[in-house]
Amino acid sequence: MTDNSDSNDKLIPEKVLRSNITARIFRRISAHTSILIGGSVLAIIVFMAIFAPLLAPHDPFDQDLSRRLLPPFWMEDTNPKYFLGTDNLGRDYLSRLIYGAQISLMIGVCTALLSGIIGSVLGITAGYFGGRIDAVITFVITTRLSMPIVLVALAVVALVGGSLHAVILVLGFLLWDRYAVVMRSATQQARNMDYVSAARAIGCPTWRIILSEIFPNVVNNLIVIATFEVAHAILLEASLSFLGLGVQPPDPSWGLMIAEGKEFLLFDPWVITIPGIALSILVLAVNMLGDGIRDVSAPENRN
Amino acid sequence: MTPILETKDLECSFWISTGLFSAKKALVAVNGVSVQLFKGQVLGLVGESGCGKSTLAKMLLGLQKPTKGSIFFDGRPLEEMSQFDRAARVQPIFQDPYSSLNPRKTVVDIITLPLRVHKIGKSRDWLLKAQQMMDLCGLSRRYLNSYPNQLSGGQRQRVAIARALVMKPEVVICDEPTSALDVSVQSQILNLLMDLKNELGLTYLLISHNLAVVEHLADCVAVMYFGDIVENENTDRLFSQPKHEYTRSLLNSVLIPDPSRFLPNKQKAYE
Amino acid sequence: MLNFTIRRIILVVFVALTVSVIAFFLVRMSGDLATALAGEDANAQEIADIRKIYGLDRPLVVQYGDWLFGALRGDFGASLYFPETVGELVAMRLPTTLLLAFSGLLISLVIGIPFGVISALKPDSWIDRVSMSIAVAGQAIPTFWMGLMLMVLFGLILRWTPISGDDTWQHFILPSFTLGYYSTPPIMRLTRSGMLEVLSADYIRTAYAKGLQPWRVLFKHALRNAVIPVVALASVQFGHMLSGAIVIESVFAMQGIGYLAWESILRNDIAVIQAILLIVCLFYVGLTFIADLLNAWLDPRIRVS
Repeated sequence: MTDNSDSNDKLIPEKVLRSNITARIFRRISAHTSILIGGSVLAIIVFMAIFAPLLAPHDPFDQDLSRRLLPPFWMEDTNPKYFLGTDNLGRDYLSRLIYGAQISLMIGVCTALLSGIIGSVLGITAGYFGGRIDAVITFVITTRLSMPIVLVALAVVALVGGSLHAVILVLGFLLWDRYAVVMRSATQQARNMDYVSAARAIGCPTWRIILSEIFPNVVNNLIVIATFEVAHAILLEASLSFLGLGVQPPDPSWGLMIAEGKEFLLFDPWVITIPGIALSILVLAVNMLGDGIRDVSAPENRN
Repeated sequence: MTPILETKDLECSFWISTGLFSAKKALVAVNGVSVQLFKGQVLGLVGESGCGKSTLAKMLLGLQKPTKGSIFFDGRPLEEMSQFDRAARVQPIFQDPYSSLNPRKTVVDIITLPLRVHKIGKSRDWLLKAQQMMDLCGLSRRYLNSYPNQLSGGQRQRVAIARALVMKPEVVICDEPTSALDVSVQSQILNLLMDLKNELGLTYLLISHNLAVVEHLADCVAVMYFGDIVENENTDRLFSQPKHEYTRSLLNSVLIPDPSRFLPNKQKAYE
Repeated sequence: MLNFTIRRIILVVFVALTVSVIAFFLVRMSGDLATALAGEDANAQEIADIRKIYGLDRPLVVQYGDWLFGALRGDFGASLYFPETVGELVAMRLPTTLLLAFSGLLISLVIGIPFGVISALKPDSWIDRVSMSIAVAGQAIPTFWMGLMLMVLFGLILRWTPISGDDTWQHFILPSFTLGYYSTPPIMRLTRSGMLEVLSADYIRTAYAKGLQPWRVLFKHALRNAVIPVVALASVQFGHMLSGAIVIESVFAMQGIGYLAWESILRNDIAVIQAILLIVCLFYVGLTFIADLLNAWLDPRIRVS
């Protein structure tokens, strides 16, 4: 008999050796923790965006070159009136940050909504009807997946000119693929269930079956995907604005703020640090929320 | 007298692709089936897996289009009937109680779905109707607003039965109604089905691979083999004097839990 | 398998054609090429002349066909701003981008796979949770910002790496890492879940029961089976890196096709945009094809559907 020395035992996965109750409990708590933390941070940011006019100490567009590049409160030479300092055109950074939340959130939500509708309609239609309709829609999905989003988005925005609406429309019409793929497979699964056959045997019209029988069973997946796509859209808008082909100056898009601060990287690094941190926190909160929702509603979809 | 449900040379073929460059071949699931169902009868349909029983059931329910042949309800061809007409006359009970109920709907929603789709009666009547059906099917009223995952397999099957009967159909297609249930629950459900048949004057097409169930409950039995009905006979006669080769081998293959009887075709059991 | 491959190839050809149509018409719609070529002060007659010379008065479909056949031969036309032909331009810049994407992929695999394996060996342990948390947190950071931050930290403050440009291999360190870290979490997760699934399979338990050393079981049996979907994923991630290169190359001022694409988009250099769009799309199509083949080879159910 071979002798299993202790050092080798470490390589045998714990799963095979014993089951871990604490791990299971931890997983359930962490799902709710994710929702709690992600949700609260997101709620704070949403609050900030909605009440921006009341919360922002100054007008985000108000320029004054005499007070350009004042440092934020934790550095020397700071001016307490401008808590987070000012940018290269003398605009109050805190105010721009607060108003910037509006842009990121609006883009995230509107894009997710638009692409969600497009993707779900395509996915559910393909999943329910199958056959030739499915083949065509799958072809469309495959074609869309063969196109690099950033490149195409840049090209189109260059066509129509950069603006908030342009970004929402372009991204909305490009980011629907995840929805379509997931909704399609979820719909196919639901379609094969006997309760759909029963509904058909009852004489239920197709539209009613899709809306009333199938949709409630796939909507969980939809919500999870939507959450992640909000994050995706926010990051993409930041990239587009950073490259100059998204939201245009003087609007306070966080991505644009990073682009504008790029030149002052060496001496005034806070100019790009602050909006970057803001973006990361927002996206992290959204992702945590999405992870939490997914773990709670359909834990088998992890990984 | 006219059969309440009749099929004439009913056929259903599927086209299967066998390779990229060869022509599609036809898989004949149901091959020229002619059966008759008379009011108040229980017709048992037996056969092994894949013989076409479920396809036949789907065609009778309007879920699958036949490629040839016709179906008649009380002499009227199926093509002349609307979806609603057909649905009001024939309803299914499926095998899997876990997939036949929508997990996102409550019991009352599930049972009253036919009423809502067909717009039978007013909304205030529906609750009452659901309660009546639950009483009829032996399901306690406190489950009215429960979800399927809160019910046991037997209870779910009762919900499925209630849903099937709420519109008072004439024919019920029972596709292996107890195969997925615990043995102890099976007899309860089968007895329920028989009581309901007598009380409501229903006609059943009972599909099963369990010959004991069929022998016990059916008036006539049709044996299906690879899409064909090889024998269609009165129950007693079929079980005592099977005519077709296949029927005989089917009956022989049933294992009887009696130690004094030997296994089929074997003489030595405990030597 | 052969059947599946042939069907896939036919599909791929159609997708490639569709994508080429989109690449052509999308960019063409940005405005009148003749006007752009003629310059700002041209009058109507000069514009009309230019239109004739470049064949821009022919029906669009004909122009598309012309462009496509040229592209197949490597002739993508001329740039508005560079003396070289578009073909030459792309050929010069493509290697940088490919190198960048490849190094990024390598980094994500080198970090992702081992951590995925470790996480699978000890699921829900502190290593597992920490690495997954870092992964999740990492996905929230915008790539361009991370690039800038790394540039400040390693290039300016610590002076360990060069700041921008692409002359030496050291110039590739920061950009590759920035590009690669975004793909690390999916690879880590897939490796982890694949390994978890494989390790709890019966044939692995048999291997342990037979007395095989855990090392051998791990590498010869488990990893080999768990790694195929990861390779398929890596193939797709490589495509994403080509796309992400636009942003990274702009941040680090590297002369790849990403940067070229951005410059050309800003300057409306249509021929270049079309060429890069087509090439990247074709890469995507090819990479997805490979990924599909790998997944179908592994899971025969996919071949049938």
